[in-house]
Amino acid sequence: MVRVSSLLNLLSYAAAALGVAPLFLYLDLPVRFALPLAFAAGIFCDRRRRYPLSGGSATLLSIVCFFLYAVQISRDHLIEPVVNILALLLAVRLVTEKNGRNYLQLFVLAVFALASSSLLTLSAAFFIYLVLLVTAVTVGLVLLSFHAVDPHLVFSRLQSRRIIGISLTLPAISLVLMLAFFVILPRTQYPLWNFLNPAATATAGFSEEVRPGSFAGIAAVKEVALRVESERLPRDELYWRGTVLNTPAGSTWVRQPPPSGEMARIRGGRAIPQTIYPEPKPGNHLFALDVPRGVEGLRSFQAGDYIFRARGALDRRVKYTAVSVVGGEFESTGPVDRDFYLAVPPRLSERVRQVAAGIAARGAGAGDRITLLEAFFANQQLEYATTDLPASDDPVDEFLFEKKRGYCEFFASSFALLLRLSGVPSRLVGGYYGGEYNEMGGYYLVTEDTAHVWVEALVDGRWLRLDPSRLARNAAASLLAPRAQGLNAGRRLLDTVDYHWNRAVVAYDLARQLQLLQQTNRQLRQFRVPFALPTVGGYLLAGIVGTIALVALVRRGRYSREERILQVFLRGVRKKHHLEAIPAATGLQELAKQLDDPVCREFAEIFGRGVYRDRKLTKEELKMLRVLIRKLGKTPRDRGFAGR
Amino acid sequence: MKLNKRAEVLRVIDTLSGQYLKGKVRAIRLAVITLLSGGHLLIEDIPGLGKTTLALALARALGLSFGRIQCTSDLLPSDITGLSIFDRDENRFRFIQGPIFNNIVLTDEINRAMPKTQSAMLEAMEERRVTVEGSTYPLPEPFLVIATQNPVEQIGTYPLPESQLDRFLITTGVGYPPVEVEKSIIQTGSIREEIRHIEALLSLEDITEAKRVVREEIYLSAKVTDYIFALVAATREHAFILSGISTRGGINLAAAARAAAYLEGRDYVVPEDVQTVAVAVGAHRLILRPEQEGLGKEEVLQSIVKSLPVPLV
Repeated sequence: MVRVSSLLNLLSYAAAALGVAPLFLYLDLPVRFALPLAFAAGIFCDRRRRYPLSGGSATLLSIVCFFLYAVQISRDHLIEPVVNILALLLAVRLVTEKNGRNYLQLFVLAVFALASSSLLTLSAAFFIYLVLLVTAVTVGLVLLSFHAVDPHLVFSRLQSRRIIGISLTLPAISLVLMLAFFVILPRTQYPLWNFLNPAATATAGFSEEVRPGSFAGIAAVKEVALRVESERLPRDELYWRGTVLNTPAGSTWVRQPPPSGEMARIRGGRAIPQTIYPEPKPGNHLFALDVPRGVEGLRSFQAGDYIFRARGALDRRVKYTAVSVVGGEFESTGPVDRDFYLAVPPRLSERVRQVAAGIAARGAGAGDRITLLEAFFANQQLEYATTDLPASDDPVDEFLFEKKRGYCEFFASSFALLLRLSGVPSRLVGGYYGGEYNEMGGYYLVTEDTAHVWVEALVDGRWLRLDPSRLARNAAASLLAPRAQGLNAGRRLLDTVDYHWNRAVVAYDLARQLQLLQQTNRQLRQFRVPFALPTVGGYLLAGIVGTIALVALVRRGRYSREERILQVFLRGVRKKHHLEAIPAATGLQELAKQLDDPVCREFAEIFGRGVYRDRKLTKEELKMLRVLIRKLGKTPRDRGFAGR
Repeated sequence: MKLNKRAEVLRVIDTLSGQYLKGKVRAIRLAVITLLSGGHLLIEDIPGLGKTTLALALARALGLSFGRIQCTSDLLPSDITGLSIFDRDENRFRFIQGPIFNNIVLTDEINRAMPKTQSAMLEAMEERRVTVEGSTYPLPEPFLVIATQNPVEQIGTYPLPESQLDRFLITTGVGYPPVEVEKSIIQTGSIREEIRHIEALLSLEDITEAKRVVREEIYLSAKVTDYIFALVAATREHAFILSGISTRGGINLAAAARAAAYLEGRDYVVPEDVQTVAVAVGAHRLILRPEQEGLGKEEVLQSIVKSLPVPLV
């Protein structure tokens, strides 16, 4: 036995949870606390059937909540207050007594909440939430119609199962329609609101300039930066080149356009083609495996130092292909403006200058000086760390001689600076280092916490990649190990789903789908049947048909012929005489007598002659019964169900 | 499908209920069912509603011999069964048959007889023979006892215990006749005299044949048997009932249902036949719990019948 109200309670909680869940992270902290409390209180109150919040006070509370956030609404700050208002109204509704109207309000608020979440975020999960919410709300509305007639209605287990089963067909049908529309209708690639108003979040991870010492600590965020479809590569090669920072301005390294006439070419090595899917974000750097030879699939321009930038902002989902070379030589072909790559900021500590002078004096060529500098770095016992960082005006000096700890920006900028001071042209390269290969998707997942800065030095006309962070005494534990960790299994699976969702759904393009279809068609035509496909197909088809037939047979077998014809007859009788149900204790003869229906009487006679003589009905009898059932449908109803 | 002698049996019912015993068709039908299934009938009703008339008319119409016992507290077993008296001419004891040696025996006010006499009577009903002084005498066939008792008057009675009641196949009331019928009865007076002139509509052979058909040709399917069992089992599990219908009650129910089906002109029993006779056959066998004794046994059994699903397939 199930009470309709308890079913409705369950559904309204489910709907509320589904509506709020995708929003939850965007809510204010107090609201985040209030919601679970409201859920708990609501369930508790429903159990005890006592509600501390009366209708009037609930309305008052709703109005207070509304005004609390309504005053915060402005042109730049619109969605967050609205979302919070929705969540608070939902919370208030959860703890009040639930009558028909309140259930309806709960459902509406849940739908609005879910809809508003699409303004803030867009991911594959939204679809799941939507399907579940639609299901819960539809079933809820059907039950609500029962609740409206009698709030204390109690269903038997069979009844409730049947009602829910029937109401589930509604969302099932609409889902099919949704899928059909999905193919035709255009869709957005952006979260609706965040696209219009780019989030003013702090750039964690890759940034366009290197400013060691600007933060006392940095927090690593495991947010997806890009996904790269490529073959598997050795871990040491996973340098994703994004930008070159060639000018130190004070303690900050920035990018200037490389000196005109600078040219380079890449010789030898192994070409690695990649398809790259960057996550939407501000900026237009196109990342690719170090060193990229070219980028295609997106309008872009290339600088002389092989830095590629998109012509537009990368604030929507795009993809591009790149070909990189591993193990080749990055040769400078044009004249190199050595002064440009040797410029240093004027304010440098004496200690730093002395170290550079010592290296310049001892080392003859660029190669030697690099070796000497590496030895110096190793000697300093520097530590790779992201907390308790040097934060003075001269972070290089403090990093090398005082704190002796820092992250890649400190290592790289100090290294490049010392190289320049000792007469080796050098520059910083920003990008990502690391990435985890997702076997399921066949792609590298590069997260923001693997943002990295390294150094390129010009040695004998070739740019060499140097990673001074590897010279940290704890490099193995702090730099390399976390980058090898990647996501855990669950998140990896989710990421695979998200990846495919983005590829197939968000970046969906009808023209491309058709192209794919044509391609498939072409391939199919060329496809040679490796073995007797028709035979296998035949067996398969036979198997499917056989299974269906078997299921149908078993289903038929569950009921005998007599049972089936009786069901049809009783349905006909109910329809003709407008009976809701025929009491189980009424036999057919009795029924015929009460209804005073000659057709019923005749049916009862023929049917009983078989059934109550413990034998199967003969073919003729069945035929007669079918005729009677047809007659039942035709003869007009003459009398009601007498005596009932 | 032809059921032997059914037309004749129905004619008896029609004649009796149409001409002589107006408005008593249910009681007559039950009496005929009792006769056909070889049981005995207990009519429970207040005096003066025509219990005796019914029994008399039935005996006449059926063309059977009729005996009558008026029970009193000093009635002896030998007053019913008969006794041996010494025949001086033949110089030996000769057995004089009591009133029980008739096809139809009307036992008026059976609850006025002493338990000893009651049990002798009931024993004869069950055994269908009488043993007096070492000799066993079979009772005639068919043998139908119609006992009456007054349920209201309890002074100076020996109420039949439930175990004895179990031996009656059917218990029924007679009920007041319909208003118009009663008025005409009041106007024209008792019909006892007319009853004497009822002609026998059936012969002994007819009745024997009808009984045979009921016993042998009416088919009782497994489903209906299950239904009867379910009904019996339900009375045993019912919250109001201390002791439900016995196995003998089940047998009687089946037999009565057969007879009911025969009267309906079917050679198979349908659950409705069981429902028709269920209360008449079953109610008097129930013993209600002391706290539920205020309820009528008929109503309790009727509610069970109403709640029990009928096997349709």
